[in-house]
Amino acid sequence: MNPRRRIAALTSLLVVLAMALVACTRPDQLPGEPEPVVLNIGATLEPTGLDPSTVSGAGTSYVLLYNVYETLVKLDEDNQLRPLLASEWTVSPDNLTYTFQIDPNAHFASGTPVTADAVVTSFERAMTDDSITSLVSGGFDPVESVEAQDDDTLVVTLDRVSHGWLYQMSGPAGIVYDPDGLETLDTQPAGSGPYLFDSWDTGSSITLATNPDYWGTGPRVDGVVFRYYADANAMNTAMVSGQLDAISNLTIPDALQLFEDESRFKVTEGLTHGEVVLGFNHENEALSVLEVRQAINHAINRKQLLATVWGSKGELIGSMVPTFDPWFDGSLVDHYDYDPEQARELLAEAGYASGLSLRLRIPTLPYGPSSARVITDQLAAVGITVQVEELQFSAWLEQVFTNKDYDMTIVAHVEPRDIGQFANPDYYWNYDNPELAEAIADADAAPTEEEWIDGMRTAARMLTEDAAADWLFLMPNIVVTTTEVSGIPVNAASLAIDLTAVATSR
Amino acid sequence: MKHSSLAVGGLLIGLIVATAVVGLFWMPFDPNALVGPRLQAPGWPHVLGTDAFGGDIASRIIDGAKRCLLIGVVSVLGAGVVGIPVGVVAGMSRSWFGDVLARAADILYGFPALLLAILFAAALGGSTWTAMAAIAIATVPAFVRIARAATMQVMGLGFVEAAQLSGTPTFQVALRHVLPNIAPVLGVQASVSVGLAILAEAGLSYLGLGSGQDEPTWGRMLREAQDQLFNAPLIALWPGLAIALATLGFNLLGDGLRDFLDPRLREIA
Amino acid sequence: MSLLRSLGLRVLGLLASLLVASVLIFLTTNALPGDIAQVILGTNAAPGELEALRERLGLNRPLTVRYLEWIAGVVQGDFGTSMISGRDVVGLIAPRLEVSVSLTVLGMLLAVALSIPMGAFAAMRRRRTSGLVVSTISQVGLAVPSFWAGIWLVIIFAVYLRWFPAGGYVSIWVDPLLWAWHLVLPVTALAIVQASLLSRYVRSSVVEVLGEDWFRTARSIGWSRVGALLRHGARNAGMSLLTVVGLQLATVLVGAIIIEQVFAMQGLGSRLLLAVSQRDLVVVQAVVLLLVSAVLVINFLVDMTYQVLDPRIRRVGEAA
Repeated sequence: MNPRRRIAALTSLLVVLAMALVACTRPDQLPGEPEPVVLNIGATLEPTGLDPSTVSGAGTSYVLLYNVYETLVKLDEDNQLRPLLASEWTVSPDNLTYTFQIDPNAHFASGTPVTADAVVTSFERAMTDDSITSLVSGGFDPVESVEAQDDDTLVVTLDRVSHGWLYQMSGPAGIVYDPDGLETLDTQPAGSGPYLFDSWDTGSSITLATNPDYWGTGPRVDGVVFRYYADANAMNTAMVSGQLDAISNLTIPDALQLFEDESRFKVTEGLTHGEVVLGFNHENEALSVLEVRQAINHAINRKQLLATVWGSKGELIGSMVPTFDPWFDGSLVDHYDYDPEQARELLAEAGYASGLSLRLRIPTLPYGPSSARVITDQLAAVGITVQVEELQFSAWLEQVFTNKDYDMTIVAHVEPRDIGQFANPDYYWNYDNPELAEAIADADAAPTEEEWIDGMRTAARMLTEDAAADWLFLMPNIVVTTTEVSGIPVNAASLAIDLTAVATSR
Repeated sequence: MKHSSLAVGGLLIGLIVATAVVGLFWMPFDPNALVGPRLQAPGWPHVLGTDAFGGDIASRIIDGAKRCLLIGVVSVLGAGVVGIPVGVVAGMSRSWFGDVLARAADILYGFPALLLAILFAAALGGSTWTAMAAIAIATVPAFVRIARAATMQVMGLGFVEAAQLSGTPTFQVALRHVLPNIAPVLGVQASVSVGLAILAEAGLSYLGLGSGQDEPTWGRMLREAQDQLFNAPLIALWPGLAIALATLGFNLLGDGLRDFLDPRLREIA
Repeated sequence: MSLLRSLGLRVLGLLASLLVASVLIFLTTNALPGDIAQVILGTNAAPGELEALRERLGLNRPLTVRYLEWIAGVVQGDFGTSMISGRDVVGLIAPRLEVSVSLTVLGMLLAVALSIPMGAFAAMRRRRTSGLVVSTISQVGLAVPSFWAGIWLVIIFAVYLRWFPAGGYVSIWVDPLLWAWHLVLPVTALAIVQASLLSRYVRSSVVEVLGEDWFRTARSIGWSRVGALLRHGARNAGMSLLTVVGLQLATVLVGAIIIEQVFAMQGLGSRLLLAVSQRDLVVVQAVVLLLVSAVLVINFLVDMTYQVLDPRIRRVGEAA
């Protein structure tokens, strides 16, 4: 063999050998865990800040609520209120006074006990501070006063009946902050939860360490790392190749095939509060006409949409109400059955027999482009031409959400019990329906709980009958874990992924 | 054997052009409509199968051919229209002006199309136009450099000097003597640049910064295919293959053309 | 013109380019529509909150003031603090730099290592089928999108065979073996395209050398082809390769952004994309400036090396 060939062959051999060597010496155990047992959880929506009361966006509460921060009451998996910092509470017969008994064992990570005074400080900050978001401060709308009767007793007085108030206190509005840590909440969360905030590598991961002095029953791991992926596929392949212990929410249903091996993976499917809404801009000439909106509702085959986009996981809802809220009305789901003929008739009635053109401007979140593809096709069949424009989320926030420059859009609304957004005429839908606003307000202030639930049900029906939007579906909560991991909630009933009871047999 | 590059390149490009032209008049199905069951394997009537939504892949590939050509050709044309005059001026100038232009082109030469495209897409929303603009701007320096180098070569030729000395205005010298002589080199560069433009657009679409849903390109099809890699990897095959063939075609063409060049200019190309 | 003087002028030129680049970058990032205050506060912001946040972040001051403040900081090594997380930008970027540099350097090394034998073989066998085959392979390698190659590598080696991980990165300081293990697939994806490109330059340089008089002379004396090549041709081929490598380094550094996405590696590219989508201007400016400066400096160094090494070029440069 001539020397030239020899060199070439040798080089190639070396390269191949090097690759083989590296492949063979791969460790059985994976990186990132010395002695302590840490769970690696894959997620896609990163927080934009560390204080749920001053930054919104679901990412922050997702990680910190119930894990680092605690509230008086918490939402369990079934969307029911349970004691947390408040071991018990009573409501006066006129529904205006709430008395909470704070758990005497409860204390912050710093060691300071959680007293009623601490709660008062947190709540008053939420009600009066300028930097608080409207979601949080709005939770205190009905509150007249907050008072510490003694160390362990808190009295909250409302100025009107509000059946929804206590539920809001289970969310970021009701977080009780360590009064000593209020100055540095932006960079150092200070709460009472089973985890301590360790570090945030922006764009990459957030690390929580288990609080060894937690006042309640904590998790049986030493810490949790949330690993963020810009690309859902990369997250899925990381899970398959064993680098993650759990994926908190699978966004590509077709990827479920990857996790079929039951000896390695456990897959659960649950509910969320995430209504995926095809929103209408009611200032648009065509969309301000009821018949046009109804036509669109009839033209969209939501069942087929769900099958294509989500592999039929998730639920159909019919209005802005998830299936596990007490006033969910199943009959609304088929209020607008799939009927393209009817759709065309309605459009003709409204004067659009020759067709209509609408701009669908969507954020590039997982469900967006795929839903848009199906909707474009289905609306084309009834003579509506849809022009799809994909925007980065920040551009969407500016152009669609703030400037309201759109005709239709698709976005998931994940806050629990957000039907009230339709009562706000300044919200990005430009939907002005005073009767609806009144119905919701009346329901919340109704004398009894039954009347409250009935009233909300009526409000939901009003929305559907007015075709205020098209509620495409309710997002499913698909959690994939290795077989060793347990304790991750099946439903995403709150904004948080509650890791209090998490454990692994690894 | 000798002109195989040219032949194969021409053939491939011819194939793509033919597909694009056919696509202007007829496609098996409406490329944007959902016409069949999801993820069907290749067969009849969906020759290349269907994608994750039920769209016919063959139709989408045919539809994409015209976009591929459009983006490639328009970006490079845009770059040429700006870059060639600048390069020729820089090459003909005897003063510091030429050096300044060359230096400016050098600064931009290293500026990757991707970075520019990311900024454009973020500002104006990803679309076919922002992708073309970014690719065009990033290709201008290459044309400036090549045009300048080739012009300088040509300036050394006797008849050009003679024309200048005889008082012909610079503009005419450029038009009548320089351009025709540097045209072949520019042609090679153009061909190569189109190949690069096609690859660049594929990358941009993969990152989600390219054209939108209404005008799917092959790069975008690849992005959509990635979600189905484990159920139906074949879906990723077709658009990727199309991109590779188109790029290959233009590269080979450029190579083949280079063989026809004057040896002195061949060094520059 | 003396070498020193030409060097000095070139350095000035580099500094001028850097300055111009910084102005362009600053203008572009600050002219982006999309309000970072809106992104931070999200969909629940009240109108007063947005204004307050913008004040806090200093977004209402005139552009020139903000530019000067930024540049002054950069020169001292302070790239500011992220508007989203409040963390020091240098601290944010440093770990990402390691990822991108590892990818780029290893990718280039592998590409060079592959391209030399490939190109030389193709050159020496250029009239035979085997040479043609190698040439064709390099043509195809050039035409294939690198992320497509990456995707198939993942399917075959990570999902089916499970020899390598599907993504992620471990720092070389934490565990060199794991570092290498995670890099095998992404580096290969990058190298396939680069090697194809580089091998063509190697091929043409070698072809040129093969045709030169002194080469034939050496052969007639009794040198083997490879021996003669290595002894005399290496220098010329090396120079040509060096130039191309230098120019391509910039492309690879940025092209690695796409590979980072395929393999979920947290490099500069993905950090940039994230910052752009969050409108975190400080981070965007810093990363883009870093990348562009790297490109300019590398080009400068390649240029300089060429000048110093090859007297022929220098003389031509003097005449121009």
